[in-house]
Amino acid sequence: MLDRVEFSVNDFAEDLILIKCPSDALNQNPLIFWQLSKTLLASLTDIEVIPGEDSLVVKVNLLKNTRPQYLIDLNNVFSTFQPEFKEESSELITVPICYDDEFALDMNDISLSKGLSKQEVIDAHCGIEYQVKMIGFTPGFIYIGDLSDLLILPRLKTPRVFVPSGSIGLANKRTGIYSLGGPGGWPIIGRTPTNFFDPKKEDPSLIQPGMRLRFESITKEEFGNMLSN
Amino acid sequence: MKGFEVISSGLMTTIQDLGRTGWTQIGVPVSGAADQFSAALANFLLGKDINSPVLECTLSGPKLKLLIDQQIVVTGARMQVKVNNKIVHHDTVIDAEAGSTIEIQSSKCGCRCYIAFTKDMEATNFLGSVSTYEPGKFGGINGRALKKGDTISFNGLDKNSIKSGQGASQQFDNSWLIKVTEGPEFNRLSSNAKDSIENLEYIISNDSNRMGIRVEGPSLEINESGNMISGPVFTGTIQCPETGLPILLGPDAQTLGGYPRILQVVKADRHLIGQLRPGDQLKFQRISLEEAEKLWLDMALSFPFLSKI
Repeated sequence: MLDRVEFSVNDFAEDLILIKCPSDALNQNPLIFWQLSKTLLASLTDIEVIPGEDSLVVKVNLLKNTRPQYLIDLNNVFSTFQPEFKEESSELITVPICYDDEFALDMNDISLSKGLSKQEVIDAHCGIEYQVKMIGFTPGFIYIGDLSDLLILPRLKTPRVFVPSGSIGLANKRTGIYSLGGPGGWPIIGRTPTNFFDPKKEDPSLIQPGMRLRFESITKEEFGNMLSN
Repeated sequence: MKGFEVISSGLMTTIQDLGRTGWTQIGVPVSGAADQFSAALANFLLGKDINSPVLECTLSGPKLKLLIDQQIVVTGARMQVKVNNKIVHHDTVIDAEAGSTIEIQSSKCGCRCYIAFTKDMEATNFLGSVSTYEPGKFGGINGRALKKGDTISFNGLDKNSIKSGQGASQQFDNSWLIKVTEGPEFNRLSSNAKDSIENLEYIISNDSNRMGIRVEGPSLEINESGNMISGPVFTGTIQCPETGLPILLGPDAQTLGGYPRILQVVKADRHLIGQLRPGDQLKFQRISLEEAEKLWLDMALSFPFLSKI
């Protein structure tokens, strides 16, 4: 049984309430905001909830309820919230990744700034088992961690206007999969031919926070074959 | 039943409603009309549910041929509207017979106009909304903008009961003053940037779309090293990367973002984001959360049809 978590409530906008928690509670349970989002949606009406890894935002409808009333309701949920402490999900997903120069748009910069050879970058990225931390950003974007200390890098100074779908990037302790093409600010290390977001499914995201995940390096030829299948 | 034929598509004409809520936790953006006020107004003037599908026309509009009698309303950017080559007014109900052509020309003020029809357009419903989200290819017509040669169907129901909506017309201009409140990372701005932000003038960049609006102009001095943990962002969130040029997030905004959230466009002004066009001038006006809340409640009181937005 974990201690009760002291969530704090902060202003974001007149209709947006930002929830945070002490870092030790987050360290103890990295999925706490994912779990809190489910509890909030099951307990309250007329709200939308957007969980991040270290915070969560509740969007309220000021025409349905006053802000003070929403704050009372939120505090009631917090006071009874029991974070789930579960063993890491046994499901292990393998993500094929091709580190070829054609896909690894920032490999040279990554290798230069970290003082590693290209092969050392690849080994550091695909040599370990990760946990899925969060889904978000764009449909099916997957936040994965923790990355090896050897690969910790900031976001790009200016985000790219377009990053191709399947691109895999790095930012700080996270590596992430761009399931859709679009703008993006993470340095790109490779690309996967696998699509993890299927709009035809009832729950389109094929991956859930808490799952275990590893990368498997593939050649450009294997990439092409997997893409056409 | 057949509704209308697309004779020419315009720059980017998509089917939108008021958006797809409840799926941001898997990264699905809300989408929907970029100017929700104008989209809701178009439906309201036809006596329809404000969440009914409308056509969103961007910068230059389409030419359509109606295949059955309809009443239509055009709202939003002041793009000239012609029915059978005769100029007609925005924000009023127009009778158009089967065979009529509806032509929407390019805009000089404002970026997007909206067309509502008596009957509902048939479009792909994905997660509870027909809004087109092009990057994900969902909603609308196969997740894309209208193309020349498309035939759009209407479903059979006639749900309207025309009301006389009055005094709801918006003002359109090429310079905008948008009201904002402090975002969660406002304090990352230097004190100089905080003090001067209301005086700075930005120009809307060509690199703008439904996801975000980029601007050109003075850089804001910001304490930013690109190492934030990604946090929730919304339509109207203004992010500031290290270059110091703010990015305003639009209706197709990502759900999480890692650049500092310096400002948030107030709810009562968020629909204006849909009308910013490349080349327009933009300034920000800072107000308090209390003022922002009051503005929205007053606006909803003045325009009761907004209560569902």
